[in-house]
Amino acid sequence: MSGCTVASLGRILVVDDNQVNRMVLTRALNQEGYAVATAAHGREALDLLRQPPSFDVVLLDILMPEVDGYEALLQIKGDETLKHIPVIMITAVDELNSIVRCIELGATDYLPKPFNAAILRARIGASLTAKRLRDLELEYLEQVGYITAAAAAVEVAAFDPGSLDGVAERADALGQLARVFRRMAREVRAREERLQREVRELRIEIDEARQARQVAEITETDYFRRLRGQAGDLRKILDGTRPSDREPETE
Amino acid sequence: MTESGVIDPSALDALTAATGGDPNFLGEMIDVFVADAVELLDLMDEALAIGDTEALRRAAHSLKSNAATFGATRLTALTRQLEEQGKSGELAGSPPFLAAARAEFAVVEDALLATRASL
Repeated sequence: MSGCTVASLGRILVVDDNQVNRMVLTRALNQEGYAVATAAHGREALDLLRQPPSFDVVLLDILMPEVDGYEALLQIKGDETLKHIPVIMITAVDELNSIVRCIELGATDYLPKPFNAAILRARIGASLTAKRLRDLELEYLEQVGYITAAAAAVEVAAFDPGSLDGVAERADALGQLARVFRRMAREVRAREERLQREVRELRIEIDEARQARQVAEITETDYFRRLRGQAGDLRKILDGTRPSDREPETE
Repeated sequence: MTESGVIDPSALDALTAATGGDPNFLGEMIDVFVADAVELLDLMDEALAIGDTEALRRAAHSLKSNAATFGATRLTALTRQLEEQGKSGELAGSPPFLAAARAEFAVVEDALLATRASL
Protein backbone atom coordinates (compact mmCIF):
# COMPACT_ATOMS: atom_id res chain seq x y z
CA MET A 1 0.00 0.00 0.00
CA SER A 2 2.67 2.49 0.95
CA GLY A 3 6.28 2.71 1.99
CA CYS A 4 7.52 4.15 5.23
CA THR A 5 7.32 7.86 5.77
CA VAL A 6 9.44 10.09 8.00
CA ALA A 7 12.64 9.11 9.77
CA SER A 8 11.77 7.81 13.11
CA LEU A 9 11.69 6.69 16.70
CA GLY A 10 10.40 3.35 15.44
CA ARG A 11 8.77 1.69 12.43
CA ILE A 12 5.07 0.97 12.61
CA LEU A 13 2.89 -1.01 10.22
CA VAL A 14 -0.74 0.10 10.08
CA VAL A 15 -3.06 -2.60 8.70
CA ASP A 16 -6.61 -1.46 7.98
CA ASP A 17 -8.88 -1.72 4.96
CA ASN A 18 -10.39 1.64 5.86
CA GLN A 19 -8.63 4.50 4.10
CA VAL A 20 -9.72 7.13 6.61
CA ASN A 21 -8.29 5.06 9.46
CA ARG A 22 -5.01 4.61 7.60
CA MET A 23 -4.81 8.34 6.92
CA VAL A 24 -5.55 9.30 10.54
CA LEU A 25 -3.13 6.80 12.05
CA THR A 26 -0.36 7.58 9.60
CA ARG A 27 -0.60 11.30 10.23
CA ALA A 28 -0.94 10.91 14.01
CA LEU A 29 2.04 8.53 14.23
CA ASN A 30 4.17 10.71 11.95
CA GLN A 31 3.40 13.61 14.30
CA GLU A 32 4.85 11.53 17.14
CA GLY A 33 8.02 10.87 15.14
CA TYR A 34 7.35 7.31 13.96
CA ALA A 35 7.89 5.97 10.45
CA VAL A 36 4.72 4.38 9.13
CA ALA A 37 3.89 1.91 6.38
CA THR A 38 0.34 0.82 5.59
CA ALA A 39 -1.40 -2.29 4.31
CA ALA A 40 -5.06 -2.67 3.33
CA HIS A 41 -5.42 -6.30 4.46
CA GLY A 42 -3.65 -9.11 6.26
CA ARG A 43 -1.97 -10.67 3.25
CA GLU A 44 -0.37 -7.40 2.22
CA ALA A 45 0.73 -6.91 5.82
CA LEU A 46 2.35 -10.36 6.01
CA ASP A 47 4.19 -9.67 2.74
CA LEU A 48 5.58 -6.43 4.17
CA LEU A 49 6.49 -8.05 7.49
CA ARG A 50 8.41 -10.86 5.78
CA GLN A 51 10.77 -8.53 3.96
CA PRO A 52 13.28 -6.00 5.30
CA PRO A 53 13.35 -3.58 6.91
CA SER A 54 11.64 -4.89 10.02
CA PHE A 55 8.84 -3.25 12.01
CA ASP A 56 8.73 -2.43 15.72
CA VAL A 57 4.94 -2.48 16.16
CA VAL A 58 1.94 -3.62 14.10
CA LEU A 59 -1.45 -1.89 14.38
CA LEU A 60 -3.95 -4.46 13.09
CA ASP A 61 -7.62 -4.09 12.23
CA ILE A 62 -9.82 -7.17 12.66
CA LEU A 63 -12.49 -7.10 9.97
CA MET A 64 -10.68 -6.96 6.61
CA PRO A 65 -10.93 -8.65 3.20
CA GLU A 66 -8.42 -11.24 1.93
CA VAL A 67 -6.73 -12.19 5.22
CA ASP A 68 -8.52 -10.78 8.29
CA GLY A 69 -6.96 -9.61 11.55
CA TYR A 70 -7.38 -12.95 13.35
CA GLU A 71 -5.63 -14.91 10.62
CA ALA A 72 -2.87 -12.30 10.23
CA LEU A 73 -2.32 -12.35 14.00
CA LEU A 74 -2.14 -16.16 14.01
CA GLN A 75 0.44 -16.11 11.23
CA ILE A 76 2.53 -13.41 12.89
CA LYS A 77 2.56 -15.23 16.24
CA GLY A 78 3.31 -18.55 14.51
CA ASP A 79 6.33 -17.17 12.68
CA GLU A 80 9.62 -17.41 14.61
CA THR A 81 10.98 -14.29 12.94
CA LEU A 82 7.85 -12.16 13.54
CA LYS A 83 6.31 -13.36 16.78
CA HIS A 84 8.28 -10.95 18.97
CA ILE A 85 6.76 -7.89 17.21
CA PRO A 86 4.04 -6.35 19.39
CA VAL A 87 0.62 -6.37 17.71
CA ILE A 88 -1.97 -3.82 18.82
CA MET A 89 -5.48 -4.56 17.61
CA ILE A 90 -7.52 -1.68 16.20
CA THR A 91 -11.10 -2.02 17.35
CA ALA A 92 -14.31 -0.09 17.85
CA VAL A 93 -15.52 0.29 21.41
CA ASP A 94 -18.48 -1.99 20.63
CA GLU A 95 -16.17 -4.84 19.53
CA LEU A 96 -14.40 -5.48 22.81
CA ASN A 97 -15.40 -9.17 22.81
CA SER A 98 -13.15 -9.63 19.79
CA ILE A 99 -10.25 -8.22 21.77
CA VAL A 100 -10.38 -11.03 24.33
CA ARG A 101 -9.91 -13.52 21.51
CA CYS A 102 -7.07 -11.48 20.00
CA ILE A 103 -5.22 -11.19 23.30
CA GLU A 104 -5.58 -14.96 23.74
CA LEU A 105 -4.01 -15.30 20.28
CA GLY A 106 -1.03 -13.17 21.32
CA ALA A 107 -2.02 -9.55 20.71
CA THR A 108 -0.22 -7.14 23.03
CA ASP A 109 -2.95 -4.55 23.42
CA TYR A 110 -5.83 -2.85 21.63
CA LEU A 111 -6.51 0.62 20.32
CA PRO A 112 -10.12 1.80 20.46
CA LYS A 113 -11.68 3.69 17.55
CA PRO A 114 -12.26 6.59 17.14
CA PHE A 115 -8.59 7.21 17.86
CA ASN A 116 -7.49 9.24 20.82
CA ALA A 117 -4.04 10.81 20.50
CA ALA A 118 -3.09 10.25 24.16
CA ILE A 119 -4.15 6.59 24.14
CA LEU A 120 -2.38 6.02 20.82
CA ARG A 121 0.81 7.60 22.17
CA ALA A 122 0.70 5.59 25.42
CA ARG A 123 0.02 2.23 23.79
CA ILE A 124 2.58 2.63 21.06
CA GLY A 125 5.14 3.82 23.62
CA ALA A 126 4.50 0.87 25.95
CA SER A 127 4.69 -1.63 23.11
CA LEU A 128 7.90 -0.12 21.76
CA THR A 129 9.49 -0.26 25.21
CA ALA A 130 8.53 -3.94 25.51
CA LYS A 131 9.86 -4.62 22.01
CA ARG A 132 13.18 -2.91 22.72
CA LEU A 133 13.61 -4.84 25.98
CA ARG A 134 12.91 -8.05 24.08
CA ASP A 135 15.38 -7.05 21.36
CA LEU A 136 18.03 -6.41 24.04
CA GLU A 137 17.26 -9.78 25.61
CA LEU A 138 17.59 -11.52 22.24
CA GLU A 139 20.88 -9.73 21.56
CA TYR A 140 22.17 -10.68 25.03
CA LEU A 141 21.26 -14.34 24.53
CA GLU A 142 22.90 -14.30 21.09
CA GLN A 143 26.11 -12.89 22.59
CA VAL A 144 26.07 -15.42 25.43
CA GLY A 145 25.92 -17.96 22.60
CA TYR A 146 29.14 -16.53 21.12
CA ILE A 147 30.91 -17.09 24.45
CA THR A 148 29.69 -20.68 24.83
CA ALA A 149 30.69 -21.33 21.21
CA ALA A 150 34.12 -19.87 21.98
CA ALA A 151 34.44 -22.21 24.96
CA ALA A 152 33.61 -25.17 22.72
CA ALA A 153 36.16 -23.94 20.17
CA VAL A 154 38.84 -23.73 22.86
CA GLU A 155 38.15 -27.39 23.69
CA VAL A 156 38.97 -28.44 20.12
CA ALA A 157 41.81 -25.93 19.68
CA ALA A 158 39.84 -23.96 17.07
CA PHE A 159 39.26 -20.74 19.03
CA ASP A 160 39.41 -17.51 17.07
CA PRO A 161 39.90 -14.57 19.49
CA GLY A 162 38.25 -12.26 16.94
CA SER A 163 34.97 -14.15 17.38
CA LEU A 164 34.45 -12.37 20.71
CA ASP A 165 35.31 -8.84 19.57
CA GLY A 166 31.64 -7.78 19.32
CA VAL A 167 30.75 -9.11 22.79
CA ALA A 168 33.94 -7.68 24.31
CA GLU A 169 32.84 -4.18 23.32
CA ARG A 170 29.91 -4.37 25.74
CA ALA A 171 30.30 -2.24 28.86
CA ASP A 172 28.43 -4.72 31.10
CA ALA A 173 29.41 -7.92 32.91
CA LEU A 174 29.00 -10.00 29.76
CA GLY A 175 31.50 -7.76 27.98
CA GLN A 176 33.92 -8.15 30.89
CA LEU A 177 33.48 -11.92 30.76
CA ALA A 178 34.24 -11.88 27.03
CA ARG A 179 37.34 -9.73 27.53
CA VAL A 180 38.66 -11.96 30.36
CA PHE A 181 37.86 -15.10 28.36
CA ARG A 182 39.59 -13.74 25.26
CA ARG A 183 42.69 -12.69 27.23
CA MET A 184 42.93 -16.05 29.02
CA ALA A 185 42.43 -17.93 25.77
CA ARG A 186 45.19 -15.85 24.16
CA GLU A 187 47.50 -16.58 27.10
CA VAL A 188 46.75 -20.28 26.90
CA ARG A 189 47.42 -20.23 23.18
CA ALA A 190 50.71 -18.34 23.65
CA ARG A 191 51.76 -20.84 26.33
CA GLU A 192 50.88 -23.74 24.07
CA GLU A 193 52.88 -22.24 21.21
CA ARG A 194 55.88 -21.68 23.50
CA LEU A 195 55.69 -25.25 24.78
CA GLN A 196 55.43 -26.57 21.22
CA ARG A 197 58.53 -24.56 20.26
CA GLU A 198 60.42 -25.92 23.27
CA VAL A 199 59.36 -29.45 22.42
CA ARG A 200 60.64 -28.97 18.85
CA GLU A 201 63.98 -27.69 20.17
CA LEU A 202 64.23 -30.56 22.64
CA ARG A 203 63.56 -33.04 19.87
CA ILE A 204 66.43 -31.59 17.84
CA GLU A 205 68.76 -31.86 20.85
CA ILE A 206 67.62 -35.40 21.49
CA ASP A 207 68.22 -36.32 17.86
CA GLU A 208 71.75 -34.83 17.97
CA ALA A 209 72.56 -36.63 21.21
CA ARG A 210 71.26 -39.87 19.80
CA GLN A 211 73.45 -39.48 16.71
CA ALA A 212 76.50 -38.72 18.89
CA ARG A 213 75.76 -41.73 21.02
CA GLN A 214 75.42 -43.95 17.98
CA VAL A 215 78.74 -42.65 16.63
CA ALA A 216 80.36 -43.25 20.01
CA GLU A 217 78.87 -46.73 20.19
CA ILE A 218 80.59 -47.53 16.92
CA THR A 219 83.90 -45.74 17.43
CA GLU A 220 84.46 -47.08 20.90
CA THR A 221 84.28 -50.77 19.93
CA ASP A 222 87.45 -52.98 19.72
CA TYR A 223 86.44 -53.86 16.23
CA PHE A 224 86.49 -50.19 15.20
CA ARG A 225 89.80 -49.64 16.91
CA ARG A 226 91.32 -52.62 15.03
CA LEU A 227 89.95 -51.31 11.81
CA ARG A 228 91.44 -47.92 12.53
CA GLY A 229 94.81 -49.53 13.30
CA GLN A 230 94.68 -51.57 10.14
CA ALA A 231 93.79 -48.47 8.19
CA GLY A 232 96.85 -46.71 9.68
CA ASP A 233 99.14 -49.59 8.75
CA LEU A 234 97.78 -49.67 5.30
CA ARG A 235 98.39 -45.97 4.94
CA LYS A 236 102.05 -46.40 6.03
CA ILE A 237 102.57 -49.29 3.64
CA LEU A 238 101.21 -47.23 0.87
CA ASP A 239 103.53 -44.47 2.03
CA GLY A 240 106.52 -46.99 1.82
CA THR A 241 107.13 -47.44 5.45
CA ARG A 242 107.21 -50.55 7.53
CA PRO A 243 104.10 -51.51 9.33
CA SER A 244 104.21 -50.26 12.81
CA ASP A 245 103.85 -52.26 15.84
CA ARG A 246 100.32 -52.74 16.08
CA GLU A 247 98.09 -54.22 18.62
CA PRO A 248 97.79 -57.91 18.19
CA GLU A 249 94.52 -59.10 16.86
CA THR A 250 92.41 -60.70 19.46
CA GLU A 251 91.16 -63.42 17.19
CA MET B 1 -23.02 19.01 18.70
CA THR B 2 -23.39 21.25 15.69
CA GLU B 3 -26.51 23.36 15.46
CA SER B 4 -28.31 20.53 13.79
CA GLY B 5 -26.82 17.97 16.22
CA VAL B 6 -25.40 16.05 13.29
CA ILE B 7 -21.71 16.24 14.16
CA ASP B 8 -20.16 16.04 17.62
CA PRO B 9 -17.60 18.87 17.56
CA SER B 10 -15.49 17.23 20.26
CA ALA B 11 -14.86 14.30 17.88
CA LEU B 12 -13.73 16.70 15.16
CA ASP B 13 -11.54 18.51 17.67
CA ALA B 14 -9.94 15.22 18.76
CA LEU B 15 -9.40 14.24 15.14
CA THR B 16 -7.82 17.59 14.35
CA ALA B 17 -5.57 17.39 17.42
CA ALA B 18 -4.47 13.82 16.68
CA THR B 19 -3.51 14.69 13.12
CA GLY B 20 -1.55 17.83 13.90
CA GLY B 21 -4.16 20.53 13.38
CA ASP B 22 -3.54 20.86 9.66
CA PRO B 23 -6.79 22.18 8.09
CA ASN B 24 -5.77 20.98 4.65
CA PHE B 25 -5.37 17.46 5.95
CA LEU B 26 -8.77 17.60 7.68
CA GLY B 27 -10.30 18.78 4.40
CA GLU B 28 -8.64 15.91 2.58
CA MET B 29 -10.03 13.42 5.11
CA ILE B 30 -13.54 14.85 4.74
CA ASP B 31 -13.30 14.35 0.97
CA VAL B 32 -12.21 10.72 1.45
CA PHE B 33 -14.97 10.14 4.01
CA VAL B 34 -17.67 11.50 1.70
CA ALA B 35 -16.44 9.54 -1.34
CA ASP B 36 -16.16 6.33 0.70
CA ALA B 37 -19.59 6.80 2.27
CA VAL B 38 -21.30 7.12 -1.10
CA GLU B 39 -19.62 3.91 -2.23
CA LEU B 40 -20.38 2.06 1.01
CA LEU B 41 -24.08 3.01 0.95
CA ASP B 42 -24.31 1.70 -2.63
CA LEU B 43 -22.58 -1.53 -1.54
CA MET B 44 -25.14 -1.91 1.25
CA ASP B 45 -27.98 -1.44 -1.24
CA GLU B 46 -26.53 -4.17 -3.43
CA ALA B 47 -25.92 -6.45 -0.45
CA LEU B 48 -29.53 -6.10 0.69
CA ALA B 49 -30.80 -6.69 -2.84
CA ILE B 50 -29.04 -10.06 -3.08
CA GLY B 51 -29.21 -10.96 0.60
CA ASP B 52 -25.42 -10.90 1.08
CA THR B 53 -25.18 -10.61 4.84
CA GLU B 54 -21.38 -10.55 5.00
CA ALA B 55 -21.13 -7.75 2.41
CA LEU B 56 -23.71 -5.74 4.36
CA ARG B 57 -21.80 -6.32 7.57
CA ARG B 58 -18.46 -5.21 6.10
CA ALA B 59 -19.79 -2.08 4.39
CA ALA B 60 -21.79 -1.05 7.47
CA HIS B 61 -18.72 -1.69 9.66
CA SER B 62 -16.55 0.63 7.55
CA LEU B 63 -19.13 3.41 7.41
CA LYS B 64 -19.75 3.08 11.16
CA SER B 65 -16.02 3.46 11.82
CA ASN B 66 -15.71 6.54 9.63
CA ALA B 67 -18.88 8.12 11.00
CA ALA B 68 -17.56 7.68 14.55
CA THR B 69 -14.23 9.24 13.55
CA PHE B 70 -16.02 12.38 12.33
CA GLY B 71 -18.45 12.48 15.25
CA ALA B 72 -21.50 11.67 13.13
CA THR B 73 -23.27 10.07 16.07
CA ARG B 74 -26.67 9.24 14.51
CA LEU B 75 -25.04 7.81 11.40
CA THR B 76 -22.76 5.76 13.66
CA ALA B 77 -25.78 4.33 15.51
CA LEU B 78 -27.67 3.51 12.31
CA THR B 79 -24.72 1.77 10.68
CA ARG B 80 -24.02 -0.12 13.90
CA GLN B 81 -27.55 -1.55 13.64
CA LEU B 82 -26.99 -2.50 10.01
CA GLU B 83 -23.69 -4.16 10.90
CA GLU B 84 -25.40 -6.19 13.63
CA GLN B 85 -28.15 -7.21 11.21
CA GLY B 86 -25.55 -8.35 8.70
CA LYS B 87 -23.73 -10.26 11.41
CA SER B 88 -26.88 -11.99 12.63
CA GLY B 89 -28.11 -12.71 9.09
CA GLU B 90 -31.51 -11.14 9.83
CA LEU B 91 -31.94 -8.60 7.03
CA ALA B 92 -35.74 -8.30 7.11
CA GLY B 93 -35.62 -5.10 9.13
CA SER B 94 -32.63 -3.63 7.35
CA PRO B 95 -34.17 -1.56 4.50
CA PRO B 96 -35.60 1.17 6.76
CA PHE B 97 -32.30 1.44 8.60
CA LEU B 98 -30.42 1.74 5.33
CA ALA B 99 -32.83 4.41 4.09
CA ALA B 100 -32.39 6.30 7.36
CA ALA B 101 -28.61 5.97 7.11
CA ARG B 102 -28.64 7.35 3.58
CA ALA B 103 -30.79 10.30 4.66
CA GLU B 104 -28.60 10.93 7.68
CA PHE B 105 -25.48 10.80 5.52
CA ALA B 106 -26.88 13.56 3.30
CA VAL B 107 -27.15 15.77 6.39
CA VAL B 108 -23.71 14.75 7.62
CA GLU B 109 -22.21 15.49 4.23
CA ASP B 110 -23.72 18.99 4.24
CA ALA B 111 -22.40 19.61 7.75
CA LEU B 112 -18.91 18.36 6.93
CA LEU B 113 -18.72 20.29 3.66
CA ALA B 114 -19.72 23.41 5.59
CA THR B 115 -16.95 22.64 8.09
CA ARG B 116 -14.55 22.11 5.22
CA ALA B 117 -15.48 25.46 3.68
CA SER B 118 -14.83 27.22 6.98
CA LEU B 119 -11.32 25.77 7.43
